[in-house]
Amino acid sequence: MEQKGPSGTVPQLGRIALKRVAVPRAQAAPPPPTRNALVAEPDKAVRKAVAAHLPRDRFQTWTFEDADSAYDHFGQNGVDLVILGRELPGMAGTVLAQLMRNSRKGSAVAILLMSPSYRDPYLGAGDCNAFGADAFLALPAAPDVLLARVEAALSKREPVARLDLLPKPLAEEIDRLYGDLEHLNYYDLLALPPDADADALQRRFHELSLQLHPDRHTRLRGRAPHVWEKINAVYKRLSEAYKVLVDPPRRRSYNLGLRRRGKLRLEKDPFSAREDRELALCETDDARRHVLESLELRSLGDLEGAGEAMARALAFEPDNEELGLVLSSIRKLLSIVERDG
Amino acid sequence: MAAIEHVIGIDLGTTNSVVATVLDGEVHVMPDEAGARLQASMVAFLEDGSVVVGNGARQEAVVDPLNTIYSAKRLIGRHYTSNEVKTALQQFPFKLVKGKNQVPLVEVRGERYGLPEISGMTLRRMKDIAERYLGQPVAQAVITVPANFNDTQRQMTKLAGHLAGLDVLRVINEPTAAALAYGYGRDIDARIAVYDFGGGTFDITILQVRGNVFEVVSTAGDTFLGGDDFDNRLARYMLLGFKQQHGFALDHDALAFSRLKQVAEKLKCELSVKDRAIVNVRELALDADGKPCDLRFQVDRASVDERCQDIVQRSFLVCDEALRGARMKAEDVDGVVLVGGTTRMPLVRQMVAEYFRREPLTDLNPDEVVAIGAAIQGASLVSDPFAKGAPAQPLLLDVTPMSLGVQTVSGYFDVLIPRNASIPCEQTRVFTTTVDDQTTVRLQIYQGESKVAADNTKLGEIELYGLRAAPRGEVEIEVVFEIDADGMVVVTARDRETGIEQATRINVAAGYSPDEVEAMIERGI
Ligand SMILES: Nc1ncnc2c1ncn2[C@@H]1O[C@H](COP(=O)(O)OP(=O)(O)OP(=O)(O)O)[C@@H](O)[C@H]1O
Ligand SMILES: [Mg+2]
Repeated sequence: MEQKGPSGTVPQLGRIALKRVAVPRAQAAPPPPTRNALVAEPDKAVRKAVAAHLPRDRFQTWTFEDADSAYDHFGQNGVDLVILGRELPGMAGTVLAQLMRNSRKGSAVAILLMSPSYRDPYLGAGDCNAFGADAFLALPAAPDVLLARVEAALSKREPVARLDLLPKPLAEEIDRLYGDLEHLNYYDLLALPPDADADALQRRFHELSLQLHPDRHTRLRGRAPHVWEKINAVYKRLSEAYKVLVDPPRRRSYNLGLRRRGKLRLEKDPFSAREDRELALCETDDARRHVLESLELRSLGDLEGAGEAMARALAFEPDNEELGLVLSSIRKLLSIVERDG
Repeated sequence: MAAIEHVIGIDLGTTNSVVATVLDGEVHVMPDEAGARLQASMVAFLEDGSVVVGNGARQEAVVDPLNTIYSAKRLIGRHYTSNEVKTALQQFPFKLVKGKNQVPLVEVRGERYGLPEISGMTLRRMKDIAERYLGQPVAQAVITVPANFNDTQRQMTKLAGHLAGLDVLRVINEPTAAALAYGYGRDIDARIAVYDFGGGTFDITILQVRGNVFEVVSTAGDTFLGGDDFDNRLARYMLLGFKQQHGFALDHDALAFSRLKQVAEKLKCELSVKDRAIVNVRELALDADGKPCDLRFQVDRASVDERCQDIVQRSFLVCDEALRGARMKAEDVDGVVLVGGTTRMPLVRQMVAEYFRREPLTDLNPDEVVAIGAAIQGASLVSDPFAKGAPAQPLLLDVTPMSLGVQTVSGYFDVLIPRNASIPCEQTRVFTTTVDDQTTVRLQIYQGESKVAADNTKLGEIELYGLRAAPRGEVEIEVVFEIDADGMVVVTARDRETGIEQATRINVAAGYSPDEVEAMIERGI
């Protein structure tokens, strides 16, 4: 592992030499806290240049050549900013970014992805958060562009509690929920026990809505767009959780996925692959109608109803063996569910 | 200190509009210079090129029907081929023509106007009334729409506000606004049904109100059920009377029928306050000898009620549906709020009371309650509920009235966001290519409840273009469908592998291109 501080002499960032650009520095403002930065990039010149341009008074920077050692360091230390190259030995930067983002402490870290050329498909992606990255940097780039992207990424991950825009406990609650959004099941998200009834769910949801509904925070929309986005993301998930749990069939199907496969969210199957296949098996419109109904009931978690609908479809095409197979697999699933309670 | 900015709430009605605002914690319905609190949603284009909007346009409708536009709300955001436009073509005296992209346009005095421009003129009038009342400029508004307005209708209503020089903070549903007007500040814990029977549509919305939270649990509607149906029924009853009186039938005389319908509406309203009524329709038709025949028609309320019961009964089918959606029974409802002119009919009130087994609430003016709710919501959207000493503000948790989905390969409707999902909300779906080197994927987006996509309302088509050339199934595009707090659809897409924001082209059916919108703004209203 090599640890480098800024050398201040490398006027090069990316593969093409660049004119040196003066980096503007803040004058009067109080010094912001020192952050821990991690740079992973196989190209030595690029790695050094990037590290060199992160101001020393604001960042303590660690550099790595490969994905594994970067990920190890990330796992063992508090890191605020990660800058990743596109291709790293061992793992693509995109994959590493996702890994980091999805890890336990992933929500607070700012991630910047660098792409090696203007032809890279990232280009134009701007601030889109694919792979959990907060910003993209196309190389070659002037140092001030690098710093601008770093700031953009950091501000997206700035804890709400640090911004003094909202009452402290509320801001901390937003940070906590946003940070854990991909790790909490619906019950934990709403902080309710698994046997909570409809009334308890509704009361809790109303309480949370009064605090977290975007309409309560309209003035942040223009003033602090990143905070606004976090609030929206949190609220949408809360209301998703509420709407699923308050509806008995959907709650049943969610509980099943949670228990058997650890699925934290209720998701529908990917678009219509199964739907189109089963519909294509039918020869008559009547059968198709019942198959459609069966598919719909399955998506609602009603296996019993789905089986009955499929049996009705089969009544129109008794010789259709493939439909028969679908029916028996539904029945099999139903018996497993019934056995497991 | 800068002057307080007022947000106005506008009930943009089919026949009448109302504007209100919150002043020092109290709601004011703002009258015009003549003291009128209701404005006709009418726009008259005069011969000298000037335009009269509101109550002043009313008399023009009588003397110059060709150049006086009304009922814009029935047409806004509709396809030219829709039933509403077809009916309007037959019934409305002013001229409608087909614009680009299936958009109906109004043609008046040689000029063509989009419906958002016509509605925009009404909104501008409401804004003027507010500015006069408040003595200062107004920039922000909340506008109400029927709960079952689809995405296009909402977009067009928002555009109308924009053209009127308003920043539309929110488009909210009329029944939700009505519930807010009833429940705000009363600290209740109750389940409320808002029964909204207007001129052309019927809506029912069920809410759970707890303190300051107004949660819409479910909503349902019938866009072809309204006061008009009573008028038609009564007009047919009158035809029967004519036949008895003169010995011949008028069944195929469209002109006579449309005259009778107007008379029928007046008669219907009269019967809301009186037990019996008489009308005289002069020279309704000519007999075989060419002699003009009058109709003298006398009815009592009881016999009309008997003939119209089934129309009211139809509204309860919709109520059943909404209650099912809320997992409730009619008797679980703690309060019934009546909205809309048709609820003035004693028959409606009586049948509603029987259905819900309780007397409906009628203590607020049904004409004003929607605007009042919009004003309350407007004030709450610009306040900071977390500021020290801030008064408690209401919070609306609304739902989407229709399922949103895409058409599958086999023509079925694949639901992405079901109806009654609370908004804002979003759903992500992955789409993939089906042939090698395919560079575009088209998604047809619909709203509605039919399992067959084509039976629903098409919102538009989204084209994901410039995809990477790759073997089929390899390019995976993740599409996020969002319904925002206005109930409007926002679609974004990205390539799963590369993470690029995927370019999309959205072709809104019955909508305007950015250039056309630009031109409207340029022209001004
Ligand atoms: N006193 C009355 N008795 C019976 N019906 C009435 C009475 N007054 C108005 N109506 C009917 O109410 C209908 C208009 O209702 P309303 O004014 O609520 O509709 P709107 O607000 O214009 O429509 P929308 O809310 O759908 O935009 C018409 O059909 C009218 O005939
Ligand atoms: Mg109305």
